[in-house]
Amino acid sequence: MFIHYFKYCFITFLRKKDILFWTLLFPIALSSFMYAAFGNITETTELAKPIPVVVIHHHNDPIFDQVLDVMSDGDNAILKLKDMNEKKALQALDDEKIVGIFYVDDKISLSVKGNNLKESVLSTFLDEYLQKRETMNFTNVYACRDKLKTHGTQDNLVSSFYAVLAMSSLFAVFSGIDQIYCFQGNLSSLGARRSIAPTPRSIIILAEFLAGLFFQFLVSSLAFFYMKYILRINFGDRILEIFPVLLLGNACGLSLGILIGSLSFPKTLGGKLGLATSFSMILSVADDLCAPSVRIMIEHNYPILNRLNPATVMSDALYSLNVYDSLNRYYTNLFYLGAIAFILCLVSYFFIRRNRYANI
Amino acid sequence: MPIYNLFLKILRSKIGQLITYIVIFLCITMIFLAKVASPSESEYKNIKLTVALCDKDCTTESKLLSKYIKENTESYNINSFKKETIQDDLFFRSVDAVVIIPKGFSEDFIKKNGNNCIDTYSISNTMTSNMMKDLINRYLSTALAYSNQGHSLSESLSYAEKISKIHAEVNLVSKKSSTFTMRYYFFSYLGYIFICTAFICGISILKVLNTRKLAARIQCSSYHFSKKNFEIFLGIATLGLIIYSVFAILSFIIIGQSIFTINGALFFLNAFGYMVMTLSLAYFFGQIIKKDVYISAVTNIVALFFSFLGGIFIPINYLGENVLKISHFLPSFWYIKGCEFAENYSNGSIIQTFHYIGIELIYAFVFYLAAVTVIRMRYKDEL
Repeated sequence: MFIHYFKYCFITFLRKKDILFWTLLFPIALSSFMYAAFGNITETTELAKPIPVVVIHHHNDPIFDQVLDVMSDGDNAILKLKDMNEKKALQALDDEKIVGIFYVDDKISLSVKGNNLKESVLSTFLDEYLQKRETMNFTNVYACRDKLKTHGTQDNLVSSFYAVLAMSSLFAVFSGIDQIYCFQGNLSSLGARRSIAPTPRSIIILAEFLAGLFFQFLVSSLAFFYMKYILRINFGDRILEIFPVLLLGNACGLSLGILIGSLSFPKTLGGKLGLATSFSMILSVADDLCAPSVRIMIEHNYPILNRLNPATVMSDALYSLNVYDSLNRYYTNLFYLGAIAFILCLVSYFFIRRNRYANI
Repeated sequence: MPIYNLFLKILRSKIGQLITYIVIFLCITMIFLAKVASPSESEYKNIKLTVALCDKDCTTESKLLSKYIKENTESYNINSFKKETIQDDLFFRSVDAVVIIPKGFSEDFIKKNGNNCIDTYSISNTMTSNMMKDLINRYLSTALAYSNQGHSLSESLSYAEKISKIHAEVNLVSKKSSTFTMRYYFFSYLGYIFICTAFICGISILKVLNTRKLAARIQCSSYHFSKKNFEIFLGIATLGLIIYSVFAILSFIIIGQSIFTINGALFFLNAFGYMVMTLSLAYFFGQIIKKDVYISAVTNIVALFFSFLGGIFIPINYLGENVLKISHFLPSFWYIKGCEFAENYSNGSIIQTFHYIGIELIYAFVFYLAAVTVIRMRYKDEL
């Protein structure tokens, strides 16, 4: 009987287009849009790449020319010299094709169009040249010892994809609601028929919970494979460890759905779905889905909220796998996810146990 | 006008969803508005890196170095200097770099000729990491030069600090267009929320009106076909007017004075063109969507597609070259172009705004034609 319920519950889920859309197609579409939009952002705003500049000579300064040649040559070049006259250079600056114009006059000056990081790099370079010329000291010192060594990516945009995976797992809430809707005699006719069936309720609940969990786990894994192998998002090199996170994350989503489904308010399926959507979206937004740094802001001010939010716990587990050498934080997060799922199931049990209907 | 009345009756039942989307929009807008940078200044100002500093040496020399770093950066109070905390703050970009002056710095500095005497944590190969290292290297290089001339280390560091005050003349040619105000962000996010609200309400209503039984009853009644279409058009126009008015009122409340300017008027004109396009697109999808389940799916996919690739969520200049090629085919791209023009307009011709509105209206016309084609095909099939 257990296998019978498991099999048919799984087949039912495969045929529910709305659940398939929200748990599989929506995360895939969202991650694709994010990938297309964010793909270039780190390169544009953070990475140290040669900055296009133009030098306009009104006087000769051979030392500055020599320094410019050194700084625009090799793998660590910070400048990309472009050759154009002043009029064209000003137009290029206005069109943002170049970032700055160095004017070599009695003194050297810089013209820029904004107060951003690239402009600051140029101004710092010129400051350094003027300071070194003042002391006639052109030797270099390498005082800084780099201490940050991680095996994963340091590109924080990956946290948006963690959030999408977490959201996809939390959307298991729809499956949970669907299960409880088809189980409770006061909610659906199928539930009413099941209430009088001779099969023990514990078997039905267990079989359907496991079928739902298996289905959601497969769906989340598909979304993960899509991000990893099609979009080529860097999730680090600990891939196998990601699956327990997905499994427990889905268990949390499913348990949350069962809890919402077993609440006496709202009474209609639409109301329950609305509550589930709003709640899971709030949890996902708190996990950096819509804007970066929300999670770290909550962590700094109300860290307990991040421990209670399954989406944040999932993202933190994926983040710790990517960044830390030690697995302690990863295991702690797995424990939190397991505990959240268990508590939600326990509370739901108290709501739905020993339900008897005089009439339906 | 029975069909128009029916349209309004169904619309009233969707008020809850409409309010939900408005609240979501306000929340997202508030999150983004909290991050809006202050308007550009007329004078150039170097960006200061955010640095967490720990001086473990606590000698006169290390204190001079700390003072120099603090003067030239924004200080960040990190919770602890444990590796995990540093990694967290670096990953989430709360801090650009963490600098630790180790014990024995003053002795190591002379012994090692200034090399490898400071521990730093930063994201490698980034502009901020290079700038921070450059800031320290430059200072210590000058100090070393003075030290080699026979000065004591603390004297050399003081000289280096004086030299570090030499700055280049940097001129700001004009205001950069990538710095936007709250007004811009409000109107650009309207590009997302217009689609969500118009689709959720419009498509649901059109789906009801296109229900086989209801459509057949209207068709066999004495009610004229053109009159029916006119009333549907009137209903859609009313829906657009309601959404537009709600957000216009919200813009007066949230943005305030700066909306009552010529720039504000350009924003409103541009938003009007986009609203017409959105209604036309909703009309098109209203003809092809048969089940309730698909409404929210289509709404979310279209709204997110237009927003991510059209420059609503991510500024256009951050989009890659290939993405930009696709973006040119999206009405949201031209809407954002219109918003940028309205934001940066100071004087001269406003014809550019009408150019962008024209493109939005062409899209509206294309979507309308597509919807009419679907209707005609459906009638042919039914016949």
